[in-house]
Amino acid sequence: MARDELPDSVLVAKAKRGDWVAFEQLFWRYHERIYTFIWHFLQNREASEDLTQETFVRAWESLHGLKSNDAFQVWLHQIARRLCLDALRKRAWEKPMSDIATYDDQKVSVGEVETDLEFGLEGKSSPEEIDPEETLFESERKKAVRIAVSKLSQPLREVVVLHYFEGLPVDEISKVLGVPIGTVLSRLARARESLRKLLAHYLDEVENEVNRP
Amino acid sequence: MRFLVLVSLALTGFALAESEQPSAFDILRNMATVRSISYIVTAETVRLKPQTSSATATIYFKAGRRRVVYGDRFAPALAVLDDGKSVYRLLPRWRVAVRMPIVSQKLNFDLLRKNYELRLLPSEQVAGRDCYVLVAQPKHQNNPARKVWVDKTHFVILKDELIDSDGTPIRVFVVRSVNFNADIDESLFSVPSGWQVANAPYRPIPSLSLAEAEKIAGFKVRPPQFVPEGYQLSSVGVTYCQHGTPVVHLQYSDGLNTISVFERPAQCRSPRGRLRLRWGWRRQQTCDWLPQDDFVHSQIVNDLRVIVIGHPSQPIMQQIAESVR
Amino acid sequence: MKHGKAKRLLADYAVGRLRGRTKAKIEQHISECPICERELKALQRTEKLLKEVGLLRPSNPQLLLNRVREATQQVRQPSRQTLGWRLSWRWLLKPAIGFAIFSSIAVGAFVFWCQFADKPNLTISYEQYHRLVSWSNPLGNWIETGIGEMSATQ
Repeated sequence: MARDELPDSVLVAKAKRGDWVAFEQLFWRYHERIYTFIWHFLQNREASEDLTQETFVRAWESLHGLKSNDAFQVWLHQIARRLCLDALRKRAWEKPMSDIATYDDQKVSVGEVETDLEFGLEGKSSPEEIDPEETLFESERKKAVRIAVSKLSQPLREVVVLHYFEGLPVDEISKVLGVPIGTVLSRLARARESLRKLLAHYLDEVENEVNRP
Repeated sequence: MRFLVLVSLALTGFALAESEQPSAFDILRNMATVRSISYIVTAETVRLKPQTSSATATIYFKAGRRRVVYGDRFAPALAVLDDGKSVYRLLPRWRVAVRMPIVSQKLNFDLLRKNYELRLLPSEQVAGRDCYVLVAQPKHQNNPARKVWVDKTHFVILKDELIDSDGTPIRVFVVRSVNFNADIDESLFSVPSGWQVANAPYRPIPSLSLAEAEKIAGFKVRPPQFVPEGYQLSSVGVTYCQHGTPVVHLQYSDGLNTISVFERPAQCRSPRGRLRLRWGWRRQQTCDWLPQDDFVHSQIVNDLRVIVIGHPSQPIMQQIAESVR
Repeated sequence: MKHGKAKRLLADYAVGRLRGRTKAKIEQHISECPICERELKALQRTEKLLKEVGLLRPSNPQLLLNRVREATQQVRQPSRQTLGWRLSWRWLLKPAIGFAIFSSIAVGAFVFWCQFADKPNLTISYEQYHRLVSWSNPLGNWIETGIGEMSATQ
């Protein structure tokens, strides 16, 4: 088995013994997920990168506190979530409400491309394989979806990010958030209802794509 | 009373006619009746047995009233005041006078005569004053002797020695300076104005019998079967420990010296005393306020706590306590 | 099942939250109701739209990893309790400080009060009682009345 394919539990066990390389593997495996998760809390690249760094630093420092090696992903998300909540609380404390930058205040709206956001070209391993036109097109649609998601309330937003963007199963989400599975499903349903209205314009596009041979 | 005066005058006259010197009993009688003088005395008391301790005291006397100030004259530690009706312990720190009504116990000449042989020794001087020297020799072995120096003019004790049966002194009282017919401010003999007067929990009834004391105290009193020779029960009283448990006081006297026997239930019965939390100063107060001295003997005999106070040695006091069974 | 109820439950059905009879009833309704069928398709399309968004990537992951490494090299791996405390007990910090200040003030006030709540002893010691009984006896040992108390207070 190649090192890349080693399961989390093995890498965590190695990292617990001080193996930095194993921890690097875990970093490469999860840094995008954690970054995405944090970004949807803070909606600011620099702050999200800082918190991503902080999340992994804390994970390394307190790896001994992780009881079950299999639960690394859930545990990492828990750390990230607590840091985000702390940061949001601190931000609310330091700035009056009117100063808190919202998505719209940063002059990013559906259809506008130039933003603070740098969306990666996910799903494609090398630039050569990406159709430039499609990328441009898809990128705009993705931005629209992200903006729509950012308009959801925080409880709905985090389940959407964890489930649809990161692909986390519902039972793991319930562990990350510390709520029952039923609650997670209910939040997903409410979120999908809201998004269906927010993204009505793009749904037709999707339908056309589906109908296309 | 008139008869007594007549008898004493007759005796004095007879004695003067015989030897031009009053007898020892005349001197004692005069001491007991002298009232209309005033004096200031600075005295020192040294207790040598069983442990050495000493105190300086200034005594103010005027027409039967007394004020005894212990400690340095300028920084008194404690004052005891007798205004003719009650005795007060004055506590300047709290401006409180604790009233202690006392039993008026007089000299019992018959008992004194029965147990002691009184003799008059050649005169001596104390604090620059001529004194009669009286010696009371006990008729029973083991009891202490007493030697008293009495001022010839005013019949005031200027020196007093309690001497053990082996001839060593137990307690010495010596007057260092005396000022007769001094002008003493009247205010010294009353509780200062603005002070609070508190009554000590003490029920002194002079003619209290054992049965009455038992009724007040609520427990069976058992007088000791053994007391040193010559001693007899002279008074019974009831007091209370600071938690409210009654204590019976039996006093034994041989005419000169006294032994006190206190009895109370072994378990302090007041629930307040046991359950109430006591912090700081109050916490340290035990049920019995006893000095850390050897002249006190305290032990539990059956269901009673027996406390014996007096000058006898520890084995004798223990014997008294144990004879309570 | 009525249309209104079915419409309310449609999102729950789409995420697979419904079970048993309710699920069968709503499926029955969807098969008969074109509006609900269209709505369900819209929800499914929303899911597709969401699923294709995927993850974001930090601007320079390698740099991020280097920063993590630098930060962790400064701190050794701490003991088991440290992070647990930081994460789960941090919210207790302010109340705890407040409580500590309050309790220390209370204890100080109590000690202060105890110092000055000294009260006079209104009882008489056995020894004083013993001496006082012969107070009016010229040959009594009343002069010693205060000695015991003095030696006790000195």
